[in-house]
Amino acid sequence: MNQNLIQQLKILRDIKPDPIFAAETRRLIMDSRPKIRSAPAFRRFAYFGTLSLAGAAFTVVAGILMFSPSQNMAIASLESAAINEELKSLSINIQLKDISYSNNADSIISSAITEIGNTDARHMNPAVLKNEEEDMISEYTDKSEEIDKLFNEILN
Amino acid sequence: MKEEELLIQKAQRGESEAFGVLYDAYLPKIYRFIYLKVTSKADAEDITHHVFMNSWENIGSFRFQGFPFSSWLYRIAHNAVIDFYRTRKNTVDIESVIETEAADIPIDGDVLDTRYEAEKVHTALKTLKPDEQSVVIMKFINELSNAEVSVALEKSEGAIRVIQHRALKNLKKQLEQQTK
Repeated sequence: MNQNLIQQLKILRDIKPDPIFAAETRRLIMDSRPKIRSAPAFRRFAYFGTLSLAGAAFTVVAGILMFSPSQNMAIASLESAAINEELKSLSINIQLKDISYSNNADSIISSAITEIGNTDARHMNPAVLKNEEEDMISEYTDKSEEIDKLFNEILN
Repeated sequence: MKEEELLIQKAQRGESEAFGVLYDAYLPKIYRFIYLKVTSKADAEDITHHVFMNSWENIGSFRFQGFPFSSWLYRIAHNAVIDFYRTRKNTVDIESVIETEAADIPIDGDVLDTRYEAEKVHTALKTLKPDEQSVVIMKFINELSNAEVSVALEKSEGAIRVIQHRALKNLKKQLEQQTK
């Protein structure tokens, strides 16, 4: 039955376009040639133009990255490991600086305290002062006796 | 196929004579497909003209992707028919069109039996759903392969086989009812 049905359908293959219509449409297509010709050419140009521009842009960017002196720095700045390392060393530097400062401060303070507490200093030492005083008295005493002797010689 | 590829390449370079050869080869099938879908000779001519002008203008966008040029043309024709019904919706009674245009079927020769049979099958065909009509026309009247039909209608080959089976069943039923 399907075979019969398909045979019936095949009758419709005889449907054909009107020859005048077919010729007229063909003529119109032939006449529209200039408009059509430019379309693929333009598309090709646009396609290759876009590719060329993209290639040139990529080359420029790659060139800048390759020959830039800051390339390693720029790349290193993007690596998390490098950043962590940098942060760790920064922290250590700060601590070492603090230690160094503390050491210096300690020595200054300790020397100041030592100096304050040191009673052996010559200008503060009572024994030294006493000696100086005695020296002065003896000097004065010696000189007074000499002066008295000179006065007596003059008067006599 | 190689010859067709060469013609397409020439047409893509703007050689209208090459496209003219393709036009001569495919016009009868595309026209038939459209006529059987819209029923009116005038509408079929308008849509066919539009399909070939459109394909000529956009020939540069056609790419060889393993399916023939005919599938691409059928796809344009199929979409043009959908657009036709979309714009004509609610303005034309399909049944009245069938009645009016059936006698106008463009078949060569004056054999009454043939004309009568053609009108009968055409009327039955018009009762099918749009996709069923398309599959029957492409597959059994214009002799496309399932692969070509699937590309033209943008459906899988499995889906085409299902539609084809359902379409033949419904068509047979319609023809039997006409006989009674």
